[in-house]
Amino acid sequence: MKKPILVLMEIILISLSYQAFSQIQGKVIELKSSKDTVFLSDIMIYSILTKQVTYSDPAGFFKLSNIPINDTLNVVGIGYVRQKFIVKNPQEKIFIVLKPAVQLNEVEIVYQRPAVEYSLLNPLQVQNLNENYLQKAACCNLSESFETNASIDVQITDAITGIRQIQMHGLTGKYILLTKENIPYLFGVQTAQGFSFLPGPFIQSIQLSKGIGSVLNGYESFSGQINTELWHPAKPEFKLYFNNYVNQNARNEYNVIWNQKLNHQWSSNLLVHSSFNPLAQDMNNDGFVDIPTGRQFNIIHKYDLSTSKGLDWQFGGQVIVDDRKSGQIMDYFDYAETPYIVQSSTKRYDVFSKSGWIFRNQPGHSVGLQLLYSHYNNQNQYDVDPYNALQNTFYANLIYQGILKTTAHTYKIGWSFNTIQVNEHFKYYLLGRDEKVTGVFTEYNYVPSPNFSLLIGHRLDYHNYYGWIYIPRVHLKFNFNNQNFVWKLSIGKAFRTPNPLAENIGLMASRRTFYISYLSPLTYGLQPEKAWTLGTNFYHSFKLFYRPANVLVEYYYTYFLTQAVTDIDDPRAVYFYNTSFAYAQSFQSELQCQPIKHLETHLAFRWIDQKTRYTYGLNEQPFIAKYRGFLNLVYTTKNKKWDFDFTAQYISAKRLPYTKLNPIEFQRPDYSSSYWNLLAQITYTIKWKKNELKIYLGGENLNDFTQKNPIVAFDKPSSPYFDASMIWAPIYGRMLYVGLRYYWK
Amino acid sequence: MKTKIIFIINILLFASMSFIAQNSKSVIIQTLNVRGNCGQCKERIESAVDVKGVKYAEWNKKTQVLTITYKPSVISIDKIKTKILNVGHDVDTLKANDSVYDKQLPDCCKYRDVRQH
Repeated sequence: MKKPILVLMEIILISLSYQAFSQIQGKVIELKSSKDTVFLSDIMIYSILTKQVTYSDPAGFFKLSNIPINDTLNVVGIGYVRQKFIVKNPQEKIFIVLKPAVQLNEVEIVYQRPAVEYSLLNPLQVQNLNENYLQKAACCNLSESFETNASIDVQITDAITGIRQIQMHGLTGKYILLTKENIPYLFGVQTAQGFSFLPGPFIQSIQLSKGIGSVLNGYESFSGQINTELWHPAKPEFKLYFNNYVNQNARNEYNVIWNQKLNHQWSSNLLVHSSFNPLAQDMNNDGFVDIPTGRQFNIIHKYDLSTSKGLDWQFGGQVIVDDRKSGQIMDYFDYAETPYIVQSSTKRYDVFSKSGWIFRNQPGHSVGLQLLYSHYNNQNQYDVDPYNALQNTFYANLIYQGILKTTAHTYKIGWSFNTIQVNEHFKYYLLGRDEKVTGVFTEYNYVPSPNFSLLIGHRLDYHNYYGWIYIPRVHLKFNFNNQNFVWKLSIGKAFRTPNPLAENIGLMASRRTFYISYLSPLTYGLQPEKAWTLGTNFYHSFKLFYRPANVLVEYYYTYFLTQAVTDIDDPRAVYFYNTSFAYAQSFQSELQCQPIKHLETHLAFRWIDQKTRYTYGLNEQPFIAKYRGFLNLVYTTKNKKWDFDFTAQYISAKRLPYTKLNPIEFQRPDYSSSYWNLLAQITYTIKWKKNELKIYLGGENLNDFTQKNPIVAFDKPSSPYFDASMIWAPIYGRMLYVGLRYYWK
Repeated sequence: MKTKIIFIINILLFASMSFIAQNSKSVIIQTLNVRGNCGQCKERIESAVDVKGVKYAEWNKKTQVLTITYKPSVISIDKIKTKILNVGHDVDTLKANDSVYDKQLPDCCKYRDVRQH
């Protein structure tokens, strides 16, 4: 910036000093106002006739020699309107005034990003799984979308209901905190079927944080936290999305997402899911349906208010209606008996609100409030035995965020309130509880440089049954060698109330007797679960085959101070009790690279060691594989029209519950056999104008491995030995599917 | 017999080692100044040089630098530059053809007219 008088002097100076040379020179300037002139550097000047190119220096100066008369100079610079200058006198000193161009809005193109991204900045051990990742698994809900993930195992709970549960670091899904847009999504008895309540196409991205989580979302999250971000109505990537999926079992799914901009502040979207499984198929000829028939309707409606004054507000509701039927089918059962039928009906109604206020006059300070009310009604019939669960939940979380002097020190303080009212009816048991938890928490984050981050969190809750609960958590992160090497470390405590019935819903598909203590009828006679989790991981990015590659090595250790054990090592019974000794440790290493151009390769290996002290002694928990190998290959053609995705998994032997007390024909081996699971998918993309169509074809369990005789005493469902919960591998063979995704932008 | 096998394995190992060594020698990593504006430009530039002989190319929007790993025995740097010019992006002191610039580049990519994002 210079005063006009100085500019004028410079003009005179330039005119005097350069008069003698036979070259054209000048300066490029921008007049910001009558008093403010800026000299522009890096402006390209090229002559049309001589094809010479030059750039202006930081003082705006340029020169070109041997320019003929009537040559045209083109003057172009990023952010400025192009200027043409016809040379009348090559000896002349010229001033070229550029006008700033009107800024155009960028059409944001999300270029090919790795489907699984590791955060270099976040001290939490978070992996971001984007839409590309979610599309690898064509079907259908959140639990199934982890079929292609190296860190998470998906398993069916029993041979009849087909409910899928996930495992992480050798711990089942109940130890993972699931949040939807950072609001906890599963409370109390909802954990049983909860992962099937979020259809995959509703989800834009998943943040998978491994190890102990942050204190902001509560005292749970033992082994990790899964946050799902659904498609947001503000800044939508498409106006309309439509997805259709059909598999060879005639299961069909429809998903529609409609984004609407109401005005410059308000927007809304509607997410609709409908799935229908009409065919009762029995491929393994045991008289039982392999995959339950039924339907699910799932609707989410969201509104978003974004103001320029600092207020952001999102609110909406979700309605889920899910009905399933399974069990024996007419062709096979003995007509003397009534067939063994399992029916399940679930209704869930949610209303939620998330508001944030940014203090414009105090940068870095904001306040946010999250509210959720959820009504849940789950009615099940296992032959003659009912299991019904009714739950009402209210959750409120208020967070204030601020900075201390500089942005190197940020903090969050907050207050939360949570009430869970549960009424359960199982066989002749009638159970109920009314949990009320109030808590305060604080989290301090120290980031002196991009290479170091320290996150310390505390929370103190008052639980109306268990009294005061104090939870500390610490996360540390170091970057070395220009961020090519990252080391993260975390340690913290976690706490949860067990829900033994809902979490073991798969065991109800058996003739086992459930023993629930009446010592304290409110909480099944069980102490809450408490554990310490330690986690560390190393991440190194480098070049392999000339292309970017990375390795990730992780170790997690969870030590339970109290665990609520489900003991099924008596084949005729289920016992629930507390143990004071249990641990799970896991080691995982991953390699991502591109050995051939366009071929993304992801290799992983995992080892798990876990033990629990049962009443009869120390033993492994059943159905958890000790080793797992994982390979994922993605090949995208150069024109990005074809995607080929292939996953192979090796699952080692799992301990099976003890069955030697049964007659010999109803016994099972101590360990299952190991097996492979292959998945593949081909996607073809067509783009025209503002539309995009993706057609996909794929297969699950391509190697057709199934567990033989999954149901114990399948031909005598009324016998005391009947048990459909001994599942360690797929029971349905090869499954092919086709689908399409249509985006209207 | 055994010694023969060991001998053959050694020869093979040696051959493959020298092959790898030669392989790495014949690959060049070079930087070019390529003008562009936005994510779309990145996509355009990187896919323009996604050709035989180019192992890897990454364009940085902030620094306007394209880092390119290629085999000079398969493709020359001049050919690579032409590929980029052909899609409308200036390379070093070379200027892309005006008509290509006007017709092919999407709005956000008009780096000669639009402020960098």
